[in-house]
Amino acid sequence: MVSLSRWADEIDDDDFIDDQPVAKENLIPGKQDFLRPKEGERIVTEVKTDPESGKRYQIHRTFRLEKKLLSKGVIDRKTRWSKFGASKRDAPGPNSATTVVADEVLMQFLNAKNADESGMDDANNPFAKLQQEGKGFVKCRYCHDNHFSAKCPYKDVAGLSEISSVVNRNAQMGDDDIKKVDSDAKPGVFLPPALRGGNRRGELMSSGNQRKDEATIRVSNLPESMSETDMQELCSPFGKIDRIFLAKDRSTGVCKGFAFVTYQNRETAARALRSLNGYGYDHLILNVEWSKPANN
Amino acid sequence: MRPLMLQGHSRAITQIKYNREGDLIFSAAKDASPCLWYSHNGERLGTFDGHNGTVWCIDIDWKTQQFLSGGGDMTIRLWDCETGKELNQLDRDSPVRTSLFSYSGNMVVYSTDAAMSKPCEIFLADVRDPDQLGESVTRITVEGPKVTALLWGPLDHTLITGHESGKLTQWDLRTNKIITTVEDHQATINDMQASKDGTMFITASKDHTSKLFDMDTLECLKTYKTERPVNSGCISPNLEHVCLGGGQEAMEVTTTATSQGKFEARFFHLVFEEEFARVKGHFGPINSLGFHPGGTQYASGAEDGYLRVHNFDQSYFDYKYDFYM
Repeated sequence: MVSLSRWADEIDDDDFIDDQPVAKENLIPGKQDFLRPKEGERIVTEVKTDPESGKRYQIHRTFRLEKKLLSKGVIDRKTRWSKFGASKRDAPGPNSATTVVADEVLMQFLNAKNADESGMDDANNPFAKLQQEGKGFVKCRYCHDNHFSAKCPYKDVAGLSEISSVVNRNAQMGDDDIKKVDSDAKPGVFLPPALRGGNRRGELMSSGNQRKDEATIRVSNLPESMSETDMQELCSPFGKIDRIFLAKDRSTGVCKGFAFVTYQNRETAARALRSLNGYGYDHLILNVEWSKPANN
Repeated sequence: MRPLMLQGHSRAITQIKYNREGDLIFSAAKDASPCLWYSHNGERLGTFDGHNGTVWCIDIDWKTQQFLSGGGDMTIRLWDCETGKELNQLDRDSPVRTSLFSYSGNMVVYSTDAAMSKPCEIFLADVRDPDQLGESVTRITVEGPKVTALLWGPLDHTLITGHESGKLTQWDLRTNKIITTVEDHQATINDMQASKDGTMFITASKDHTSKLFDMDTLECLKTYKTERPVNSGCISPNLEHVCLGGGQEAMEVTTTATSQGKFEARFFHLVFEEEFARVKGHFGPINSLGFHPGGTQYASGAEDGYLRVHNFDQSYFDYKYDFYM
């Protein structure tokens, strides 16, 4: 610790600094302030002069003294043995060339078992308990039923403004009608937007994207060094591009050799296909075809 | 915890050992100079210079007076711990793979590799006078797979050897005959370390398991399963824990990411065979592990050439393994 200048407290007391090798007149006056060692501590002071700037500064090191009972052999080895071999010229104490205090690491306790057990079951879940008891402390914003709004089966049926009318309508409709409106939505089960309205898994959400499919070309036999900007340069002269997908290896980032380019309309895509198919690019001959829709 | 990282070796660590009191750590590597360290602050006390190749095996006697090392330069050497001076050296016909002092420190045992059309042999010598290192009391030629790990049995009456094939053999040192052979492991035994009281020992094998054996009967008591070769295992002297270290083969290390290498030291419960903690840090497989005889510290030496000395946090001692009767 480099002591800071403390103008207010100029305490000059030898007791604070014990058995230091620095002669008293060498110490920087007024820099011994506050160095009152606590119980079981010792402060060692050292005065150094910076060779470049000529500035003298004083270093106080605080050591905590520990008492340990050791066997005679250990004490002998600690106090009497001298260094040998490659360490022969090392100063007492650890040499920073061979001994480094590494970064903090934590012992990672694996208590997967405990984590499982901590999950609340229904008996302990206060909400479930309340629901079972039929207390209506949870009230849905949409249908005013006994569940959270987010779990309401009708929440996607209509816009928020039409809540009440929808609820009323549904109340008039039979069960079959409600199923028709939202066939997949079971109460309490989350459905991602893509799957709502009867879409199956893997299908695209709207038909709009399918229209775009017909303006998409698949370019293959691309060099490994291909990047998105290269692809942009290659394909942009034919017309406006909506989207470029360059297939890359996830871990290495190297191009897998093919790409999908979606143009804004089918004519420009067709033009690009005609021009680029068989085009020599970076010692490879490109192969371009219409992209085929993914078959589900 | 903040481990001490000891960088005294230029190549992969092969073996590390604490002395009996645990104030010193000895380490050997594939470079030629074993090192001696203070365990409490990581200060290097010295190096034992003289070998001309990989040092495969080291051991310290009971009183921390003599140090034994054997290596790929086909020599076994006896050193003075205090000064680092070589007391005696002996040339053998093939690399020295394992070496141990007996409990009393009076005897040494070491084994040589089956190499260059020389058989694998076990030598016993009395080293109360270091000059007698060459006068082997006993010489056993091992038929079949070579010895890769070695332990003294109770009261130095028997010798237990672990072999390249995974078998364990118990030898009677009075008759030099085999007492028992067990084949619980399917691949090379990389390391064997005894428990503090010497009633059992833990093996570390390339077959991805580590097993606990009874020292007397070679009965397999426990099996600790991992998903990678185990290079070293040690038993805590005061808690029912074992620590295992390993990782993929050294030759595969450069082709995989550190995160996939699984170079952590893994702590298992001795009785329940279940892993409960891990400590990361090395970026190569751990080749050798050692528990401080007081159980407050452990050290690991790895293929990356570093030794890491860990003083356990209070959380380790506070940890209680949950089980239901």
